[in-house]
Amino acid sequence: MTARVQVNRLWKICFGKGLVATQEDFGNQGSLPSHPELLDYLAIRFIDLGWDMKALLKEIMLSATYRQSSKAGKDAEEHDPENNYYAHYPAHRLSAEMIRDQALAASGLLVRKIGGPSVYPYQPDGIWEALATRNATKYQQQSGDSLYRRSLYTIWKRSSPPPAMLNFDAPDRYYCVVSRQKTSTPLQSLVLMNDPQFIEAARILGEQMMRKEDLGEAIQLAFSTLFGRRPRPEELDNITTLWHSLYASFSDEASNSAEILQIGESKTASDLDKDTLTAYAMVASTLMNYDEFVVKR
Amino acid sequence: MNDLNMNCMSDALNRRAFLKNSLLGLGGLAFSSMAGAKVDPNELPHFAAKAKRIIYLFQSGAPSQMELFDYKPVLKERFGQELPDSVRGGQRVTGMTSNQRSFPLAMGDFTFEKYGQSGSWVSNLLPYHQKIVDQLCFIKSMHTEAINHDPAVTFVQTGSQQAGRPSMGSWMSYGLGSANENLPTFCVLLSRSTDFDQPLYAKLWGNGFLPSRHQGVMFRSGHEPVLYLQDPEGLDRSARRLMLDHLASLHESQYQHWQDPEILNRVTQYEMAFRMQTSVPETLQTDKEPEYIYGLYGEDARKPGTYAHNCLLARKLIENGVRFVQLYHQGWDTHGNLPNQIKLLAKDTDQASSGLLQDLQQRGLLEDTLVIWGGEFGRGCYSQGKLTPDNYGRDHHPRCFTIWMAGAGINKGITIGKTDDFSYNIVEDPVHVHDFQATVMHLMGIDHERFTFKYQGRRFRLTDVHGHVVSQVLA
Repeated sequence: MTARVQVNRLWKICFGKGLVATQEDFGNQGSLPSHPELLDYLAIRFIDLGWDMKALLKEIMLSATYRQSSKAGKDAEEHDPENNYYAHYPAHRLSAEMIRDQALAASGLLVRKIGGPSVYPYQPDGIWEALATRNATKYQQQSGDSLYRRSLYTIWKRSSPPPAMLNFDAPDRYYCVVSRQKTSTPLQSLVLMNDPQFIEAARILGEQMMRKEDLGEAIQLAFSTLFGRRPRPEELDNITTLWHSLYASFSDEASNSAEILQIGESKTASDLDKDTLTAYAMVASTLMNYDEFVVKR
Repeated sequence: MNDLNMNCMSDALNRRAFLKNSLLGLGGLAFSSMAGAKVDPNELPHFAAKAKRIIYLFQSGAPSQMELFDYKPVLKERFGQELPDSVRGGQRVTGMTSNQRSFPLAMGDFTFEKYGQSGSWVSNLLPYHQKIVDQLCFIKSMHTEAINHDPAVTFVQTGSQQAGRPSMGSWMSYGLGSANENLPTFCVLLSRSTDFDQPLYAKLWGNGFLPSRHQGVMFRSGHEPVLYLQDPEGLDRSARRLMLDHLASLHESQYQHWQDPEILNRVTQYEMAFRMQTSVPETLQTDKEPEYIYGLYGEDARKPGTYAHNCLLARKLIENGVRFVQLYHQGWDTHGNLPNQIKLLAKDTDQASSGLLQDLQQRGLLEDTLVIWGGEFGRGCYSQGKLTPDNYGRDHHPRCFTIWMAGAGINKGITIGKTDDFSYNIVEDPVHVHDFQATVMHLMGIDHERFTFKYQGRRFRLTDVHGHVVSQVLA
């Protein structure tokens, strides 16, 4: 049972849903496994592998099922609308932590250090102060590496949890939550559009794009780091036009767009033209608001 | 093999279906609400709603009922005498006074009179309430199970003392949905006043196990009322528009490629986010409010962050289609120096609460807006700490407290429930917190027993397994 439960959770990490849909409940109120033999096979494999999660994840991820495209076949809607038989990969939204970590990783800001005390990354001013009247009332934002650790290490104050994570359905940690909600809301859009963490990551990625030979290659780079694929022709056209329009707007004398580059603690190389870089940064930011940045397909 | 599997599965499914059906058959109607079909929020409202919106003026810290509404002349007559054992009846008292040897009755120099046609008692601390009593339905027999602020506020707002359940506003958002496209459904306004403010917790407006779009959105004073609303410094609106236009056409191409309707959903969300960026600050702008408004709400309403300003914002929010506004005053925890503190607290809240009601009425909004005023429990009739001729404190008291409701569907100008001569025990028509919650839901067109969400193997409701609609409240 232990192995089945754990294997089911790893499966859910990979596919966004478990072989047993109620991953928190294997009892008589829970659902039955969609693939009981597979569940047992994986459970036994897991034990044989010495309960090695990484090894099992690797095995799942190398499977043909995992590597499928999420594009549904023509008759999928008719025969298996819920995709219970995994005829295509089940697209699903990433978790709060994965989304932030991905922005950090794609830009190269991510600090991969393991362990240690909690860290205090960017958080809008006054969040703790607004609620607390005694004890830890002040949020002391840290600097340097602490800003770029994996979200797992972000300080969690239960009476005032990190708001950006809550918007992406991170539970408030009062109850044990095994299956998180997966919602999609305008507040999430606002986080991806305006949270300094994402603007900074976009700037750093923009800097790397700018160092490429030309705009085309820059866009290729962004697509491969953010989505792990090449842009489709219409996407390439779209982004190319966007870059030119943004550049035209930012290089206008009246524009103070270079201020965008001041967001975030990390420094930008001084040899780069500011308007050009800002245009790249905002292209990268636009792509961080694209479907595939938050949805695994 | 596959076929065999399928058979096992369908057998098992049939067995479950059979068990379920026979339960229904045997238990008849009684079972149908427990084992019955999944709740579909689309079925709401269950019946015609009296109220479309709620403004909940939460007086956090617990206002003393005896100085404000629950007139008890005995307390003054027997000032300094011990609380009779017959009244306390051996009940435990709450933590901060449980070590006291003496429980002297206390009451400050406040006077009470009956006001309005309804003849409701109001003290001289609340001159503006005196004018609106005929609009109000007082419940003087509220009681709760919790004795400390955190669990008690959590209990009133989520139906459980243990944290983690959805807040009342989240339930409403989940059940009734949004009534506008540009503002959150459930908004939270905090008013900080004094040094003795009680802390608040994000869980009080948390969505619990409901989807996160039902969480209360805390509005802040200042240039960014909703978190992450502000575009980065240096990015103008036309550039943002440009980015979003390109993003929309990217999403369009993405949809053509994947045929997943979720992608189109994202386009809508970005449009909403863009609109919110302007509609939220516009809604919260008070500088165009006419002068008479400040006559209604008081001069404090000019200062962002005050209770009065928040009352004004509450009206603006519901005017623009917000369904639930949760507004807090945080300063009512008067363990000591009560006679002086309560004057400040009354001054902070009296005129604005009353002004809000009048403003709503003038705009015709009171007909379908429910306004609630109240805290998490009451305060004790005996002094906490040393009683002096002109000073005392009061400890927490869960056995009775006073709240009022007004507006949509409310029986006006009445008082429900009665406490004993010491405002210690309830002698008539007790109203439990779950009864109050059931009544609020009823006013919103929801049968609190049928409105559930399945989580961790059982169906949860705001009222747990309790609660009766208080019919006297209903007009």
